[in-house]
Amino acid sequence: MNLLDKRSLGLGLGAAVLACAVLPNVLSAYWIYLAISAMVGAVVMQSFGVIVGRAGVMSLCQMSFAAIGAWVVLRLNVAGAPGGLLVWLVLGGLAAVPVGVAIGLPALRIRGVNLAVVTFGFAVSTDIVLNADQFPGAEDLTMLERPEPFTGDAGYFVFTVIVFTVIAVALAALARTRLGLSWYELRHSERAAAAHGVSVARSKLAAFAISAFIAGVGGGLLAGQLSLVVPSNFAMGQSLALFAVAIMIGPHHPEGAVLGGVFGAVMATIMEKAHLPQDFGGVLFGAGALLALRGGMSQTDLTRTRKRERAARKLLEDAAGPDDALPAPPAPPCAPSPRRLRSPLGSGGPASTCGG
Amino acid sequence: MAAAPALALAGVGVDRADVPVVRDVTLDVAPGAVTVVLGANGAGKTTLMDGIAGLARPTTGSIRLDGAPIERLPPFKRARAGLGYVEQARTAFRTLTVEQNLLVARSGSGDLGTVYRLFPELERRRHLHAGHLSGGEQQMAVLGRALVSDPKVVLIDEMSLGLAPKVVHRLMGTVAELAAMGIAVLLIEQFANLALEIGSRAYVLRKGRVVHSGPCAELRGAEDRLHELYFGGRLADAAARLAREAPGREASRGASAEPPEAGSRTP
Ligand SMILES: Nc1ncnc2c1ncn2[C@@H]1O[C@H](COP(=O)(O)OP(=O)(O)OP(=O)(O)O)[C@@H](O)[C@H]1O
Ligand SMILES: [Mg+2]
Repeated sequence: MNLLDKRSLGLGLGAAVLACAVLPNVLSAYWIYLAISAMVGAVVMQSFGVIVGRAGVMSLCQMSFAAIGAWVVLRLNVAGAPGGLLVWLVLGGLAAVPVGVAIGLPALRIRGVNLAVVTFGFAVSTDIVLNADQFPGAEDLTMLERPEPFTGDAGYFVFTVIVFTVIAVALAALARTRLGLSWYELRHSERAAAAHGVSVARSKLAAFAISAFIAGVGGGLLAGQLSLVVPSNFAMGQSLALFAVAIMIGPHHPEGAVLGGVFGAVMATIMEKAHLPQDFGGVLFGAGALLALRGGMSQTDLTRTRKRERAARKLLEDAAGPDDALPAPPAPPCAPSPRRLRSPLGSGGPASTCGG
Repeated sequence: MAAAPALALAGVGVDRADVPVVRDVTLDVAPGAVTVVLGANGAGKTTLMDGIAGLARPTTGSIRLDGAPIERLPPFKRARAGLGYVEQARTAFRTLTVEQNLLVARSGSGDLGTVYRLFPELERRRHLHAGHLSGGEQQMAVLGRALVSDPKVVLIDEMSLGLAPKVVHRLMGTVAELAAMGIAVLLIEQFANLALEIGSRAYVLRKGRVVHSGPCAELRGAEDRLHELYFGGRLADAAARLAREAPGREASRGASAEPPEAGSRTP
């Protein structure tokens, strides 16, 4: 298992370095801009990966967390706070954490669709608040300062890849801790999780906190990309469409997060080019999400499962004799007793018929 | 039993949806032994287990784990205090691999080595999704999951449900092995014979109350006695009532008031 993880870590880092080395040199300015959008989207996807993909909680307000991150980053920029974008990003993420925990509190009592409604309600109210006031610096057009080697668009692309990679590595490490594993258990059964020593409340709140942090960082990155953001960047429709993408693709795997980001950026562009309303994209994503929900598995989950199973099957066939590899033993001479035979001594049970 | 009980219940009552289902249960689970709980469908066995594990709140009585009261603790704290629970119905996480199934329940000290030693087939299949295992292997994973946290007491609820006899025997052997390792096992089992074979002490529940407790040896093979303990006077009552209401009908038909399985077994 260790080895496998090292391999995927190497693969991921390799892909990141390659992307940073090649893409800015071969892409035109327009495509670089799109690539940045994709990476920013990928970071937001990572936040979906934690709350939706891992913990299995329906959250429809991730862009609201992102808006908080963006707001804080822009405010710090206007104030000329020390530290630069990297520090502001972290602060923006941290600012979203208490809000995430607050949204997580109702999640301790309600779940599923009801919780989705609560989170969507929060997204709607954030929309209203954002529309009432402009983002800091919007009035006097204060541009956001990007940190030194990353000032150009090509540089900023590299910056976003670095942020994404750091988060991906942190999440991969987290996935193997008790907390990270408990999220998977929550997704299956809160009851079982509790019976296995998991504090359901703590685990869920942690998922909300961490996903809000990542979304906040994503919002900050978006502010860094656009310099001036408008409320519609964080509209509830965005949260909804991204949620659909998340369900469909499975952003709890890094490749899924990137794919989701690319998907979002490309779709938005196509919609724009074809003069279709952005909401239409939401409809498409929704259809895809429905498919994924029906299948019960996201795309990356499916791919990984297939791969892992092929490897495991092979291992089994190699290591074990044919006898062991068969899941079902040959039919026993004594017929298995009917299900739930409730005779006190189970005279049809294995003990007596098989002469246990 | 000379050793102090690892788990001691005194006067425990558990409600389901505000209806008392388990009432005034007092029982001891000794370390290094299998304690068996028997009873008909709906007697309240699972409810009792849920009450011990904290998944249902006990309303009365005290539950002590190694002498410390746990009845007020939330379920996860009871688990951390050393309680493992194999729930009724196969509860392997089907979309997680075998290894992930085990890792999710692991606490700091627990390791997978013990589980893989008990179930070598799990080690070989550890990267397979639990959903692709046979029923028996899934149940092994569930049993293993209850063991990785190094529990002092393991509650096992109808582990043999729907499994082939061969597999049931294998699992029973493992349960006996757990007891030999010093773990206190509380076992609910539909095949009373099997449970009584590996058990040392047995309790019989009827309508949520303990109606019998004694050494397992006493009940081994005593089918009629068990039957009486399971259903008490209820069968007789029902038969008598039916006979009174419809004198023409055969008295034994009254047993249809019982679950069909029980009815078909009416002596
Ligand atoms: N969640 C619940 N809400 C209301 N009543 C319940 C609930 N769970 C169980 N009951 C009732 O409590 C009684 C005891 O159920 P329990 O599951 O404890 O029985 P059991 O002895 O485990 O039976 P079985 O052998 O079928 O597993 C039953 O009458 C059942 O209908
Ligand atoms: Mg039961």
